[in-house]
Amino acid sequence: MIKSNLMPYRPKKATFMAPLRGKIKQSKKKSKNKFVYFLFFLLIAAAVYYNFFRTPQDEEAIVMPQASREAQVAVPQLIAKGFSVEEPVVPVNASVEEVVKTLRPETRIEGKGEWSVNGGGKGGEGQRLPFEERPCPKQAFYLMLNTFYEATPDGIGYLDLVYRAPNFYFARVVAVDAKTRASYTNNLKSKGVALAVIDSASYRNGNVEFSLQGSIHLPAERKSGLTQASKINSEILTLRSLAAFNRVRLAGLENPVEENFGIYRRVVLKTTTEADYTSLLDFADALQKSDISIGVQQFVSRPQGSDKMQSALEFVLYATNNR
Amino acid sequence: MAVQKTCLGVEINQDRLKIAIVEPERRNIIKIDAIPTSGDSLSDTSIYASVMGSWVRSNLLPKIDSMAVAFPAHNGIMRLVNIPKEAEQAHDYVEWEFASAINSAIDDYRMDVAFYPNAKKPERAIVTAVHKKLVDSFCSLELERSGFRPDCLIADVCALLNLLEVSEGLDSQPKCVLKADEKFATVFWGNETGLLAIKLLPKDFLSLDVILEYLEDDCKRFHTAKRNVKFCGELSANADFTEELTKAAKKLRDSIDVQVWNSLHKFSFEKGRDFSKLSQCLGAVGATLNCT
Repeated sequence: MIKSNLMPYRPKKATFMAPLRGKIKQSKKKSKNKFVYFLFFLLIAAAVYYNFFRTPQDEEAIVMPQASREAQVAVPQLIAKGFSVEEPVVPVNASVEEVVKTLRPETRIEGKGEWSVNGGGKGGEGQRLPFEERPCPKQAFYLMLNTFYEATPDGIGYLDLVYRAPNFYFARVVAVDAKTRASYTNNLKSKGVALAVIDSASYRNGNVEFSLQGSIHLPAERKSGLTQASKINSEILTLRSLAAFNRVRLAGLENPVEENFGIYRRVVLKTTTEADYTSLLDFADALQKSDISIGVQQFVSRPQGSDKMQSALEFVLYATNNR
Repeated sequence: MAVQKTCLGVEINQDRLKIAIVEPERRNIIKIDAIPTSGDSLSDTSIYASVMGSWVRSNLLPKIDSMAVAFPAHNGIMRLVNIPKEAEQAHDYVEWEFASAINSAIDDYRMDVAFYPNAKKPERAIVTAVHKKLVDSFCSLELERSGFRPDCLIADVCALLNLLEVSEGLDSQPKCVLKADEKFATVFWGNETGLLAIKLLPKDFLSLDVILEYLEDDCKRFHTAKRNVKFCGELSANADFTEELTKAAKKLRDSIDVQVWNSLHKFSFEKGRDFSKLSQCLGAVGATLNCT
């Protein structure tokens, strides 16, 4: 066996041990005396301190001991509900990566068979390309971010926020209380957001954790055509500049994944960023107003530490096959 | 009845976490799983903590007594060092050798050395080192608070060799393991005297031909060894790739028998659980053997 461990040594917690046999009795007696003296002085010191420095809060604390922190933040058990075959169950308390897998836009798009250009289409009336059926979803991405930004009142926090093109979302949310939660969901509904609460559970301190899944209302988007293959690199460079201008640093732009589908090619850029929500919103706004043909097909965001967030953005670009 | 300690083993790589819950003393595997992550957990341990938190919340788990993490060997430095008889202090010699092999300060790394055949009269040493930043990130207060600070950090190659030793036994005959993940492959040989050779294959060169070339070269080098290769890692779950590799290895002039490593002798498995991802999660199982 290779005994290897690169973690630094961590002293084990102190444990009470039984006294060793055969020790000299006198030393045991001495330590016992020391302990009694120590206890006596501690008692005197406590009495003096209490007489001179006590405050009303201290008395309250003595009368009404607070519930332990552990009891306050006990993690609730959530119960996932399924809807139908086409809307799969989101795994209970699953990681956001697993949740993303359950969001399958293709199961909900009407006439879904028609947009398969690889010959898998059901419809006979000519096969449509993916970007014709699902226009470059950069406007939808901005709309989703903006809708959630405007609908979120104080007292709401996100554990996970997911967008998947064309207009689907998933959110795992914590509200300080049930009233805030109701106000939040009402705000979303008033903005035309279709929502279904998948899980809900209350903490003992009154906080409510719940998961939402649904779609945002999407106005008719400007449909973009195929980009010239020779312009792929310049599109990516423009995207990088646009992001940098809006204080969004995207990591991973240098590794585009290109797939050739015969009559067109798809370029996917998997990126990550630690930009804050408002910077992302500004970037999404700039992107939808720009002439860039790159859209966002997936956005996954989660908190990182106490005051940061980390997001994974998947961009997509459709281009002609001839360079 | 003695209370069995339960250990949580996690194997980390750029885009996935493989998890195993094991009772190492009883050699009982309770649960395994493989979860994709949206970022690199090694460069950002908050992703690791977040994904583990979600996973733990979504599974009813027994009380975990300790935790071990296996990291990919290519994320650190592994060296097999022959110690000359003239060396008075083996450890000093290994440190000097390591310092001369890297192009940055030795203090930037955390190093661990295993001597063979024993520490008193060592003949060879296996040196594992990782950047201190990586170890520090696993010792951070945030990770401590989240409850996922590992007690043990070990290279996946060492974890797999330990597992091979426990499950199959090692003797003087060298044995070969091929661990092929989506983004990296490792081929290593070991016997009772420890690791004998390691070869790493990054994503850009990861192809069937190169893997076969590596295996063939090594088989020539260890010509007394049986031409058997244990195959594990993410690609072992890819039926097409496995079939192609097995067939191609058989077609070689001196054929090599590549077998998917999907069973563990001397280990029991909890009833009613899914262990179909075992060949992907062996690094995590091996890591638990070092749980204290």
